[in-house]
Amino acid sequence: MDLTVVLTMGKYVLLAVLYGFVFAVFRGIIGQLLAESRRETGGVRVRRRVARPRAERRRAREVAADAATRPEPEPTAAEDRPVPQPPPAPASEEPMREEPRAPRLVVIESDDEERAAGDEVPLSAAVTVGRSEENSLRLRDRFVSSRHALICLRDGRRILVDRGSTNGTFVNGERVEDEVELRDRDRIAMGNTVFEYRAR
Amino acid sequence: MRQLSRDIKRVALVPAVGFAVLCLHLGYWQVLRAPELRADEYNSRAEDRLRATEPGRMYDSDSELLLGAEETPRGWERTYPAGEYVCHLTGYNTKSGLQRGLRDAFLNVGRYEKPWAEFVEGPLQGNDVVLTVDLDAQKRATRLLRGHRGAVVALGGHTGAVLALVSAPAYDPQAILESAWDFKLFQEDPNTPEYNRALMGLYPPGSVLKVLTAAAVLDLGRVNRDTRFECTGELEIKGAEIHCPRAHGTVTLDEALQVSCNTTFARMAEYLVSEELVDYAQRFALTEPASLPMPSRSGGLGDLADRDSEVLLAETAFGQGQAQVTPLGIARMTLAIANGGQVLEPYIVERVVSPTGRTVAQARARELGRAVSAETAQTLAGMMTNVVEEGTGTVAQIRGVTVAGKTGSAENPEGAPHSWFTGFAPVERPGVVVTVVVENAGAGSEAAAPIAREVMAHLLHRAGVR
Amino acid sequence: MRSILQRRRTELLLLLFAAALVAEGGALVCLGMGYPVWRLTRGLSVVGGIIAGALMLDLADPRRDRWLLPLVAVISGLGFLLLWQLDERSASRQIVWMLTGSGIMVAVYYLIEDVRDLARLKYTSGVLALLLVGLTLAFGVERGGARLWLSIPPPGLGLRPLITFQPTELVKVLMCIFLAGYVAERAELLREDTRRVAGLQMPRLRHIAPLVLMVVFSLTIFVGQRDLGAAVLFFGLFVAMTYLATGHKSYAAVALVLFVAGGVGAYLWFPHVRTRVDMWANPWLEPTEGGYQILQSLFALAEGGLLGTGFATGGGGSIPAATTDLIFAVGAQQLGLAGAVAIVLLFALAAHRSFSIAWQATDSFGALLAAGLAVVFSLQTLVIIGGVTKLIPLTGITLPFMSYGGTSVVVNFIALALLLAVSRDCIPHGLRSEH
Repeated sequence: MDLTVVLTMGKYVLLAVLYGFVFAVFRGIIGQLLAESRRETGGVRVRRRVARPRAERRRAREVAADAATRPEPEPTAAEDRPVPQPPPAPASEEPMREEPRAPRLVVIESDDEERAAGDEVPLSAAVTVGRSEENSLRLRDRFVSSRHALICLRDGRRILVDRGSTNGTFVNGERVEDEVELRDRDRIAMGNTVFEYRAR
Repeated sequence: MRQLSRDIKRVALVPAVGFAVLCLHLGYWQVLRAPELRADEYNSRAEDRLRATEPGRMYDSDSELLLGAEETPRGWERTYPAGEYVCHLTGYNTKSGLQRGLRDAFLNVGRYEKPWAEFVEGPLQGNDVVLTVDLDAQKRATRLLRGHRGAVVALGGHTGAVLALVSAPAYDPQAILESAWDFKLFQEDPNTPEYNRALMGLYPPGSVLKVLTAAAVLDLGRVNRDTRFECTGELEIKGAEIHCPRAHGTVTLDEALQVSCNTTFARMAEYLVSEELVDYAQRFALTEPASLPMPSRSGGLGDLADRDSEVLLAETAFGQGQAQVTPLGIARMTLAIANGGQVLEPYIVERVVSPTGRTVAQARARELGRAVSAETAQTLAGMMTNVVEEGTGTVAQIRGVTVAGKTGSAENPEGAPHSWFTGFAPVERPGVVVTVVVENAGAGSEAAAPIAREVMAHLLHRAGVR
Repeated sequence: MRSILQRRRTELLLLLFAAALVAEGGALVCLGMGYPVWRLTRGLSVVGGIIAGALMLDLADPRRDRWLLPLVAVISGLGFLLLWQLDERSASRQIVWMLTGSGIMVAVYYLIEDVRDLARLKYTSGVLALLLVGLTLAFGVERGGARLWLSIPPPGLGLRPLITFQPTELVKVLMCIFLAGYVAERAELLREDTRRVAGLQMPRLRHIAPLVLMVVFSLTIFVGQRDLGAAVLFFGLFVAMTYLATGHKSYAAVALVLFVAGGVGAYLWFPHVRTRVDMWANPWLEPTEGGYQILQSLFALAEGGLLGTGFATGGGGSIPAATTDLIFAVGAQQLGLAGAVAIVLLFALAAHRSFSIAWQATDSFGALLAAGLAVVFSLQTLVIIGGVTKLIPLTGITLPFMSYGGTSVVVNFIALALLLAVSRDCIPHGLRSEH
């Protein structure tokens, strides 16, 4: 084959690869931009926001503060109507069947040397999260506020409340404005720490 | 922090806009302006392209090859089969002659370029160019001018097509390119063979300009061809003395043109103002450059345009003054008279033929406007016929054909007068206009008129008139 | 190790993409120029250096921006391929510079434990910047009409110069650190302690005086040094930083007025500025002298057309300064409008990433530093590509990561390391856009 033909074809291939690369980067970056803008407008568009009267909200906040002071809060004490807790899951050795287990957070990423990826944090009826020692879930992460968030049970639903943190709490990439209901396998990010919520 | 982050986003918008503008601007240069830039004369890649692509050939109107091309190990190179006879048309490289002016056509670039040509037509190939000139007329004129400096311009009587365009001295492009020594001689020759006198030479017009004066006074109705004037052999206007070779006695305007009487034409200054003469020169496009694809100069009537001087007007009226014209300018004026007062723009490219044989450009006669009325033109043609029949131009007579013309001998500081002749034939239905200037060769009837006669006779013969 | 690989999968894939691109282009260059095929490894070593750098960065802390390195890999790979055809010796040296740059990038990334600590070095950086500029002015070596080079040991001692470099390049980074540190410290003052001057909100003079002095000083020197590109760059950096410091839009307006006034003044006072502008307005006035560069560049663009003349076809040889300032024109000729736009997009994406690191940062020093570096990067790209395409007057300045030149390459890698460090230290993980 003629050299010029090879070079010409090679040029087209090169241009195609170049545009392939530009497109790949472009798509990735656009995806991020969209996620970012969604996060910023997230407060307006939170879909699973739980509506409830202001008085009740205030009470929940008091309860949360209450819960934060107690290391082992009684699940029933946090709520008006007690919610049946799932029975503690027996440690099953069978690989094919997964028994439902207690609701928990699984550490995905963390700055905290004491928390490695894969560690599990069992969730009681109300767990406060933050950098200071008074929290039931303490995160040694400089981007986490001292009183960062609260995860609690209400009417059988697991609710995450952002307590006015500086850098925000993100559920599946969306910034939590006020509060959201958690679903199984939601990703929760606070500062440099990422958890996955497991309901079962 | 949120405000800072918002402000950073705003700052980032500026380069974003910049990058977008940059992309558009790239499109402007690389697509919209690309053909023009690729053909730019300072683009050395055009030279490379000439070597890489087969350039078009140039032919005369009878398909005689004037400019060829051959493939050498270094790429495509030009050949000059018609040698010195068309040297000022072919030039000797891509920067001279029509090789420069028609480069876009020869290389298929610029306005001839098709963006998809690369994909559709295979390797790039230039367009062939067919000229309006006749190689035999070129040869004849070149031989007649040999040993002189001068120029011959021949135009088609109804079209303005350039039938011959010769400048002397000529040179053989192939010969000067083959030897560095010859090339040096060529460049340093005091007779400047490279110079195309037909378009670039500025000469005092001498008595040839009397045609313009006559056209002005006749067209303005100030004088008619039978108005009588007295010639005593000399005339004084504001202290300036004007002489005739001899006293012509009582002459009509017609007779004054026949014998080229200086005092009578100087007297026309009484019937004209400077502005009017300048206006007629402009109407005839006498001092305009040619719109041929070769460099050409514009002439001028000197200070006449700026200064209303009666002496200068009188001198200009009979052809001495400060006027400077190119042979092509005189030819174009003569053509307008031959063409009933309508000025035509001379053209030299008959057509451009693409490599696939398609005609991509075709010449058409282009009218520039009316210089004088048809009646004035007819009167002038009659008077110029008399010049050849029984006046100073009898040398230009051709058996069986009525020829009209005007001689001139232009005094100049370099020595003997420049010899001029301009004329056309046949008068009844003008087929050819010829203008000749021979530098320092004496009276118009001595050098220029015989050459004009030969060229005219040849072209008429070729056209089947005689 | 496995978790790192997984987390960095996108970046690694993109880097391998870049390697494939450079391999393909390198094969074309070898074919077209008749180089033996084994020399393909040269082209790959440029990208290889960056890939190795990326992996080493991950060993330190994998949480950083993932798009910048692949973009830089493709840009510098393409630049190398163009350079390789034009001048093999320069290309060999460029490889050394690229590898050195990658190494220095890793070193800087490791050395800076927390990029916020750099804020303490702001005055050191400022003084160092002025010192470098002063030294260049005093002992600079002239090359190509501009006194931009510093050699160690200085000439005249009869010693062979060990290093010659362009301090201007380094001054860019130092200035970014100084301005970011100064502005971050006084953000409150600059924003709040303002007074109205001629209807515009202006910070008090004593707050911005050091800033203005610094910039006026360096601008005068750069215009005096005939380094117009750098002058424009520093002016743009100053304007952007003051706007970010004060948040007042009136600043943009004042800056624009200053820019126009400065431009007119420079045009009137400096003959070399006038020549540049005149040649920009109409390069055909002196097609073989002053307008030669820009005309050759435009001819190269036109020659490229839509799809280019092809890699390794020997194009671009007639362009002056083809390996440095005008390398973009060579690329545009060989790859056409398609390739030229792709290259511009690569730069635009890299600029976008730098800016987004800046706006995601939660620390004001980090944000300002990243913003400053982003402004310098994008302005530099715009000024030189704009000059090459006759959008603005052509000024001698390098195209980041693409042009030949040791100082330019190394300093750009340092800037890159700083940007990555900002993305590591100043962006909380939840905010980090990764998936």
